[in-house]
Amino acid sequence: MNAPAASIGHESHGHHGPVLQYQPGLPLSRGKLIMWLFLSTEIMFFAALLGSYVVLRFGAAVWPKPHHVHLSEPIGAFNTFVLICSSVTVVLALEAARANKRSLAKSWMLLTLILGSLFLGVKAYEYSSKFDHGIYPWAPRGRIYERPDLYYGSAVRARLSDPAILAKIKELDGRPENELSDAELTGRRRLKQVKDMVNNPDQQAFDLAVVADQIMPLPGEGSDSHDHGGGLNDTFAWLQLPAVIPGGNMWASTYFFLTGFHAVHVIVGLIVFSILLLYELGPAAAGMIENAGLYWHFVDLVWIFLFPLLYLF
Amino acid sequence: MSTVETKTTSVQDAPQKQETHVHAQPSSARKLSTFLSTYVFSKDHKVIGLQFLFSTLLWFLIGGLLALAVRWQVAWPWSDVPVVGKLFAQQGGQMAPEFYTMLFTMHATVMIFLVIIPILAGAFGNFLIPLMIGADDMAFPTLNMLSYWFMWPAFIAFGASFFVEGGAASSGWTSYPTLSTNVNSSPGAGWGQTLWLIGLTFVGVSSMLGSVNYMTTIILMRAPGMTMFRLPMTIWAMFITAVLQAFALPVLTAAGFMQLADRSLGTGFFTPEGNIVNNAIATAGGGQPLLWQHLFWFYSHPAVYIMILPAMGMVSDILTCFARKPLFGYRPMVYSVAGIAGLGFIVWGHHMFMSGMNPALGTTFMVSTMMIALPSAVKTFNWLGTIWAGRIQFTTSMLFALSFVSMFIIGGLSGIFMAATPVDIFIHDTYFIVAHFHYVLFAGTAMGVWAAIYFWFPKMFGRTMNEFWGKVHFFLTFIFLNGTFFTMHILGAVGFPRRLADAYHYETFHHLQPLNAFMTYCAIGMVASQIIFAVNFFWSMFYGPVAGRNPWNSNTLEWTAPSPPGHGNFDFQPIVHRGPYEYSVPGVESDHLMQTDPPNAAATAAAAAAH
Repeated sequence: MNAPAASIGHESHGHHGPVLQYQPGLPLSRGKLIMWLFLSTEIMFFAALLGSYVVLRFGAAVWPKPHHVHLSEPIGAFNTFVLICSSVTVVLALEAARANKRSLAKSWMLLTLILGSLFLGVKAYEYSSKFDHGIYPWAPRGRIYERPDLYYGSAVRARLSDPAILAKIKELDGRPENELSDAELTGRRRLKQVKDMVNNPDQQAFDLAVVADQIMPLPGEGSDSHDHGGGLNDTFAWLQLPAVIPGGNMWASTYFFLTGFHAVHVIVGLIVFSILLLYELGPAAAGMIENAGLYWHFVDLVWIFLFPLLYLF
Repeated sequence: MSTVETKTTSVQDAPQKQETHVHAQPSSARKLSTFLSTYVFSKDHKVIGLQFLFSTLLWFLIGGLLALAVRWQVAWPWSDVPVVGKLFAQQGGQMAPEFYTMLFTMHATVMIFLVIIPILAGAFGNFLIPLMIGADDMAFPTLNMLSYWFMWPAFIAFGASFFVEGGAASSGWTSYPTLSTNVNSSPGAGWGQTLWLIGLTFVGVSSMLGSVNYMTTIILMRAPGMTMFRLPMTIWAMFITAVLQAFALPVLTAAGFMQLADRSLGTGFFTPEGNIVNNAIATAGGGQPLLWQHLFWFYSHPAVYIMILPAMGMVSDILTCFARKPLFGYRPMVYSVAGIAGLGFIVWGHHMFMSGMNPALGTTFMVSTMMIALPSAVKTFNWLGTIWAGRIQFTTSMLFALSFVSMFIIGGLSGIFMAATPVDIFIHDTYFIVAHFHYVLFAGTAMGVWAAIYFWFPKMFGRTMNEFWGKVHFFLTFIFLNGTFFTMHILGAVGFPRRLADAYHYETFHHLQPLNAFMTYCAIGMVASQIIFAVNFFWSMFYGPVAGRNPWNSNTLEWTAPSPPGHGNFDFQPIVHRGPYEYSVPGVESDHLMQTDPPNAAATAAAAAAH
């Protein structure tokens, strides 16, 4: 990775010929040039992903608001901050290594590793909160329905006739009122109503819209509320009823795909940093640190695009 | 293995005889590890290049046999396939329509991803780049080795896909959704399609590793005096091809991952709203099938140039050498390659005139596509200018190079037909398109590759190929390829559809069956002629006349190295004093001045005498 300056020519490993002299076209080491070229291919890779996201989003009839899909801007902003800090620390590690302050370089490198891991941890927390709400990137486990139609009604009915859920509901119904909170009391009443509505043979289309709203209400236009006003899925976490999020499936596809590929790149970066920590981080390692840093800045930059696209617009 | 012997002897011929201790004490374990590191996991660009060459030639054979099976069905539909029919066909020896779809899908896939792209960039790129710029190896030999070994998962994935349930992918090499994303759409849309996507990803990784390495090598490792505008056209073409690969391929990789996710993770990037197949419940949808087409062609149109530019570069070098004349218009040639590559990024939509894309956008793509005719014409006229009034030596290599130029004119002109939207709408799904891309890719690139193999064979193996049998190979291939592919124009002009297992289902095409039978006979002849090539290739490798350093009296740096070059390529420091095309320079005794020949005339004459 860290080739000597190209003009010197590189060491021969049992070559039979002479060590050849070259006329380099750019004042860059081989490692740095190939890293830049590699990053340019990576730019095209993410350009394709981001371009597809833009096309899919603006081609979609509806796109969920961040709150509909449990995206939290403060958490995203915090993660952005963490990643930017890690880009600073990796530069500080490079500076320290160049000044031959080996232990300082190692500390900065370790801090970079920690910040990168923190980013991944926050990302994992965000993912798990999506999973808790039935928002999965893949269809069989996902519980997102595009609209409250007949398929949705039958999915809710199927869930409510699951023996395990029936047992839970029976237990809930059996509990005395004074043991339950206000929310749980309201929830119990609403659940009964939902059950009746989905099982009603004279069901109207409007009924299912009401069912969907009871299960997971979507905050309206201009609403700043981050919670869901106590839908059934929130009140009783074990219920896990199908929810209606218009455009939610395509949102989940793009969100998990984009952030997933970004996370893979973060993991690769962390592996590189872990390997670097095994070395003495003196001036000799500066080239390696610089190349790893270039890659890390790129990963950071991708997130700088992802954050506003996914969380803010 | 005689190649082993020639390699070692040539190394020992070099002045550094004292270094032969490497070969001492052959214990069997040591021998095995030496064998593995020299011929299997070698980091030497020449060995890697030859590994690419042999692998791709093997796949060339497989792809050719797939083509013959396609031709059989088109000429004599539903008749028993001879010899191999019993092995794969469902009913007796007769192939199923799904099987036919699989055949042409895999023929195209194998030929494009496992033959043409890796033989140009992988085999010749690897072998020639360090030699022609005066480097001892690639900038990153290990990465180079990895780029070859990343082809193997692809070989295995594509190869294994023939044997999985449902057979190999059958949604066309373009893999359009929803045919490809919906697992129920065809037998091959199951595991076959998944393996296809996995194979494609590995080909992509291999090309990416190769291309960044090539660019780094060409930028940083040219011999002293080898300025960018003294590079041979081969290297210019390889460089620009590497740029195309580096910038276009990641897009296909991303799209491939998206399609893989659509198929296995249940995302819906390419699944439209309400898409129902086999009465299944409509999937979530909201995706856009056209998005795949845009992403696919954003790569695959530049890929068309990846598949021809290196051949153009190599043919330019071969033409000048055997016409004994400088290349006509060196700089315009360089700029036109760059122009083709640049324009190549903004013309992908001409593959989609029939897709329901906005017609206004179609017009834009039509104009940009027409513009590609300009740099292509510059190249063609410059080649003609190069051979004009030259002292042409009709070697096998030159014959292939000349046929490259003439066939490329036919393929290029038929390309202009389909650049025009209204014409394309008529011919898009006919054999006219098939004729066009076979003229460019087979009659063009494959002929260029043969020219290059005959030309650089002495450098690869230290021996020359047999000229007589080479010419027999050339004439048979040339006649049969025109018999096969020119006829396709006629079929296409009357609307004979491509991709149908049985077009005679429409009565209007009944009278075309004899033409198709003629084409199939020619195709069989064309594949059979390659036996001559294969025998000549392997025979010459061991028993051909031993070639010196510069059997063709060519100018470029690789001809100053031993044949075959030892590890490290050069036994002296190459210093470049001139451009690559100084043939028949007035007032010079020798008819060619090598790039290493020193500038003053007296020294030049002395050096020429020494060669």
